[in-house]
Amino acid sequence: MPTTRFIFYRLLQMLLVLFGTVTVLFFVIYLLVPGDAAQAALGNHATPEALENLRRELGLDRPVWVQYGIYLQHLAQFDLGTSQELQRGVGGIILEYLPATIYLTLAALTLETLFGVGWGMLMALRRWPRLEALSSVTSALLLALPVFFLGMLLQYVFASRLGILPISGTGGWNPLNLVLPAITLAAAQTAIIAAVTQSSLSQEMDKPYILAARARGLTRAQAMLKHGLRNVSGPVVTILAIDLGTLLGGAMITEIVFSWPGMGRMVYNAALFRDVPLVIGTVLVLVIIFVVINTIVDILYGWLDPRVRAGEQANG
Amino acid sequence: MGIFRKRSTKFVWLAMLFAVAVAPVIIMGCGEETSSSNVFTYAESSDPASLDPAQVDEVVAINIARYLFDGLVGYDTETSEVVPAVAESWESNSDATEFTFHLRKGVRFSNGSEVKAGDFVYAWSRALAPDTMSSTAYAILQPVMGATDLADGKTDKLTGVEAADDYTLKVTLEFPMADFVSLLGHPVAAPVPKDEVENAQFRFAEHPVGNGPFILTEWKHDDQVVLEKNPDYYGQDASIDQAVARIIPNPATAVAELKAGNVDAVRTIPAGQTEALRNDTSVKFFQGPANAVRFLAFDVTKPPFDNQKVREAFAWDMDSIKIADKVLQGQEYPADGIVPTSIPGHQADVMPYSFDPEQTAKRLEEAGFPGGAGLPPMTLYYPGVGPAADTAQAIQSDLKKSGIQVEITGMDEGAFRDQMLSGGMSLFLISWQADAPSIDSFLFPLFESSNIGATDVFQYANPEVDELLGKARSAPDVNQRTGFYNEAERKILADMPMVPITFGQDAMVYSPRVTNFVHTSLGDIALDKITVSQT
Repeated sequence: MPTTRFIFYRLLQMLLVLFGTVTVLFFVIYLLVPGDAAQAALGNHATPEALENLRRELGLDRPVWVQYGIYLQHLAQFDLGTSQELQRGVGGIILEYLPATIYLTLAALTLETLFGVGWGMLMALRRWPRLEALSSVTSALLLALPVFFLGMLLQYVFASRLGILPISGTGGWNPLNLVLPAITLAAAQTAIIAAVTQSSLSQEMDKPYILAARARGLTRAQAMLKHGLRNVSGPVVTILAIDLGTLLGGAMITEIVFSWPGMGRMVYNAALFRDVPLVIGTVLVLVIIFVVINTIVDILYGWLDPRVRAGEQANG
Repeated sequence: MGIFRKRSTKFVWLAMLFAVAVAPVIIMGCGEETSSSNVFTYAESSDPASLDPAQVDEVVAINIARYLFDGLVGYDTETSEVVPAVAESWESNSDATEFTFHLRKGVRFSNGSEVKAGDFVYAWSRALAPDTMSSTAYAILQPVMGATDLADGKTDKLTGVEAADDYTLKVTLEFPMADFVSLLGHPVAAPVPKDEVENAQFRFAEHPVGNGPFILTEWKHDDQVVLEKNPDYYGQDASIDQAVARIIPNPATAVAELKAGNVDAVRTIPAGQTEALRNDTSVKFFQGPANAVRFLAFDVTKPPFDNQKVREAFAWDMDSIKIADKVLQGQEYPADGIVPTSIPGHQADVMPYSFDPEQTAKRLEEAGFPGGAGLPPMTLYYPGVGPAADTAQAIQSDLKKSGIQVEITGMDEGAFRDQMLSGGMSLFLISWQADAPSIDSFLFPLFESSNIGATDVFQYANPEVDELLGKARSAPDVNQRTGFYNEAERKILADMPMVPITFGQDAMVYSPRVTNFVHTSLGDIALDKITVSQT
């Protein structure tokens, strides 16, 4: 069956990606990040003997390739190790931070999809010269504004001045606290999705099947919703899938501005403390999520766009 | 019916998206702004790594741990003098090698068990044991007999501490140290209940059980830490019912939260906003001394700094008033010695030099480098960014005017420490913050020659200074002791292995709602003394 083979190759690919990630990260952190975990743990007053003991215990006195081998061995047993800075299991730490990250990521993705696709559809519906000028200015602004600046601007206007939304924090998971960070995170991508939707939809709208639909009496908007949209879902979903990966791991700045307890801040601090197990563990989990999502998306393509299915059947 | 079915699929899909995005807002949107009025909320910039008193080593964690745990002694809020806590009284033998502490009866951990002498024996042994990975235990408890062997993993028992009975703790020291008690207010020396530490169900670092004025009731990492007043506290009850430390990494966000009335105090002021906030009438500004000194350090064994005249030339070129007031915008203040003003026994104005470029020129000529000619290439290293970087730039530009060329290089803190301890730099800028408010912790670790290779980063050795510091440690009379320390400080400054530049200062902003803002000279917000208006 092609599907089983597809999934098998996907899993194999995923293992290779994971192995590569572990290897590269391990050596990059080991070679590039300065400092010594034992000295960091015991402080300036530690006696040389105590430092030696701890280095031995952490395995830091062994050659780097032996440390790498030990790490891989633990990993094969699904053991992500213990954070050197926080002294607790890496798996547990990730589970603590993951919900806040997923919550924010889903909110941002939802905003991107609703507003990006909506905006693109509106612009593709027909030519509105004034609106098009406004649209391209807005788009340029959203893409150019640094996340840090946009976040603080929103904070100033909607929280400090107007007082209608909270400034920062989770507020005990109050959804209102989610609004500003989600907008900040989604802003630039919304503009991209809008542009992609608009350009692909505009092309589709000139195709014969749309004309045929119009001939059956559908309005341009109906034809777009009914037929056109489905045929441009491919590129949009691709962007969203890539976004999901960046959002999960790269929301650090937004998290700092809005005091959001997510993975970006956690892994940034871990890197500062040269906490190798925590950094690699976090990145691994993110890579797994990313690869799984992309596999699902590949399957989704077929569901969303019948032409992909038809192509597969023709080839297979 | 195909058309309808397809349409409804799409509709369901959109509806689900909508539900994910909006429904939670509708369901839970009505928030829970039910905070009781007697709550003090303050903004911290980072999450504590641990709240185990044996492990706390940063301001955020120490500030919390100090109010969860009471040790044998505490410190006076204003003067940093030692005051009784769990120990009601104590005495030492005449050569300051044996201390006997008499414990208060009826002090309880928040799990109900009584604090006894055995809890200190357990806590100290545990803090020093290598498995605990404490960065402060050895700094504080080093004088105790057997501490080094225990920290090195040679034994598993701390021989110098013993419970004579439930309420009497006997401590024997490795060497005389009359001022030993002044180290013991650090959380690392606080008692911990053995059965809670060894309870496998809860990690003690996240679920600490203590005997202090507050109890930890909630800790959401990188979000907030909630402390509640301990109803069974043996001492003076706190005025506030609850203290909340909100973790807000961006200082500008923290100030916005303060102005919106969501937090009552902010510990870290945004860079460059000190002046603006000082003049802002909607918030209150606090500034007070901290026990830290920033100095320019030399490796006195490496040329050209093995030449006293060269060190003097540098010293006369340090414009510490300009650095404090202009460069650091008053965040720090000019040093008048090595020991900061907030430390009991501080002596004022002991600097043998001030800013005078003419003296620098004179010293350079005497050293054989007239106008700086012939000096080897030099690099001034400093850790991190911010004040250290600004100070290094100011020093570089002043030295240049006197003909002394130095490169400046900023380094990551970890790398800086590694290179400093391995002797890889001969000119560097560092800040020393002591773990306890005692003169000894500013002079002994830095300048006593047995610390070469560790904290004596200058490779400085002067037998007279060693002797004075030794005498000070064994002098039971406080005035005599301070006299020895002060004399040692003057001798060190005359030898000039380092040039003190500024003393640290804590600057914070708080809300007018705080009716009594209390900051200790140790850099803590005094959660047990602070009061807020209950409106």
